[in-house]
Amino acid sequence: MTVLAILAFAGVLAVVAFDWLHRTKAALVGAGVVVIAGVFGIDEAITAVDWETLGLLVGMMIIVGLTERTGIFTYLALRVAQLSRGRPFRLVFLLAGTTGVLSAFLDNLTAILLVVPITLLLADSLDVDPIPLVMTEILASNIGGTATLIGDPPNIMIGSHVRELSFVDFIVNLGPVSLVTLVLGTGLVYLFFRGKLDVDPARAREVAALDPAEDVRGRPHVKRSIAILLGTIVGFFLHTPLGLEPAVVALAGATLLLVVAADDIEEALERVEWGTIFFFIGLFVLVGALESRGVIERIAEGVNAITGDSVGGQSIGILWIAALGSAAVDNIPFTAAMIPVVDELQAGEDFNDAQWWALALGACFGGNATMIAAAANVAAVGVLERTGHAISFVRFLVIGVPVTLLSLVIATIYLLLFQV
Amino acid sequence: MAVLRDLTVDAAVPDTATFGEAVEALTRTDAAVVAIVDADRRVVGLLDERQLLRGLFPAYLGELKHTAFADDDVESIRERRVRAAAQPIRELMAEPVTVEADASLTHVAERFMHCALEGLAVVEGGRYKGVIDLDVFVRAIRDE
Repeated sequence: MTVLAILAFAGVLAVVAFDWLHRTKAALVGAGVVVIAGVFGIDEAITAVDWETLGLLVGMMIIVGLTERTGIFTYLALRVAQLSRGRPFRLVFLLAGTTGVLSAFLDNLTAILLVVPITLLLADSLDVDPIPLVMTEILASNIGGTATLIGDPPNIMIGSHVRELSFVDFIVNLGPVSLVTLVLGTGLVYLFFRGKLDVDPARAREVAALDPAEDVRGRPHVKRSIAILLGTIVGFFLHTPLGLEPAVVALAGATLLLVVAADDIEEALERVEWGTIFFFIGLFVLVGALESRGVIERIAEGVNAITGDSVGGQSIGILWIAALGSAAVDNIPFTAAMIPVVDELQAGEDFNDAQWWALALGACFGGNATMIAAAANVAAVGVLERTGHAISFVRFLVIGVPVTLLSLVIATIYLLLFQV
Repeated sequence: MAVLRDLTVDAAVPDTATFGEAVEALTRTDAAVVAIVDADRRVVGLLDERQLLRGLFPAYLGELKHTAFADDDVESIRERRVRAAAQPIRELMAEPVTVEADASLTHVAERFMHCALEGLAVVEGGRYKGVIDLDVFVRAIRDE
């Protein structure tokens, strides 16, 4: 039974990594196998699902989906691009900054799906290659998403699982390192592409003349949607003093928005990416099976054997293992498996947040290495393909790996200096 | 009562055709949709005027939902039209929606209600027989 649990999880990882089957189908098949084969029972499987993570995801998907209809994010992206006045350096940094901030407070996948299409229009209007701009945004979305509890699926999972860590804790501990990484990483991408970003001043003037507010005017529920989105973000900051879990804040915001700004409930609920939700459910069951068979405990012992007993060694080990695993597979299943490993490492010890920050940094930054490492990358590459700007796996690596290495070096220094 | 076969016209191009050739067939036949067929006469795609827009305008428009601010660049629309004409039709066609030649009119109506195309491909035993336009179908039913 233990072997079956390992094979099911490893099989799903392989299927996801090589894209043999859609990741949600793979995770559900794997979960079905472990339950039907009796590795553990249905009651245990249901308990293994982290419903808080799912609640946070569903709540944010509804809030962002309904707010997106207002056109406010397109307005923001276009307005920011206009501020660059066609200067490549400014354009790259402003797009990276916007994507990073959107990614931190929405989530990185949503941020990418909001900014990439408008960036393609901008690149077309400015007559520049869109790939440097979109690559900057992909990297910025993964780095920006690292800064908050809701910014990236690994953080959502960690934040929902570890009660001791609040929304503010995430920002305080991961915000500054993410900001430094965003600036340096964007600088690296700019150096790489700077020859390809010359903008014709006449084109820049045409873009500057566009009125981005035209799309927001006259749309229904604009003010109330934005107010509820901002209110939810304030709610995240205050969730600890309010005694509310982040999932409760997100679902409360989503419910309020559904009541006041969704004319058609069925259409509004279509904003929930059910494929992603079921992917998470399958993964939680698979990891639960590994946990119940003692596999996670043995992995934790293995990590301990490599990194030693010290918190510093373990944290650096977790950072790099999580980054490598996320880069090779996908940071969501890897984080799902690593969370119980960190729990195990801390069993019987005092609570130590450094290892959780190491996991968050490793999984989120590792998401930049390959085009399959994070959902945002997969989505952005898909949009590029559909619009005639396909980017190869290797071309992504050439930019993704140096940025990932740079970010991991920054994270290592940060952990050693400030966390352990 | 109208019979589906009587409402069908021939409007097809091979799947090796270019976008320009498919558009030419759409104009020449005056049908609302052109079927793209493979060497075995199986329908592999459809081109209607909505799909034609995808060739004439940038592909990223399909990803955008807010474009009221957008301006027209007549020159680049012209350039795109020339470029698209040489593009393989396989890259710009819609997924095929087909009905069997002996299908009931109720079934055809249901198919039209559930697809965003201006016409459907009619097949017999899976092989291309012709296309039926939405407006032809609607007029035939209305005038019964």
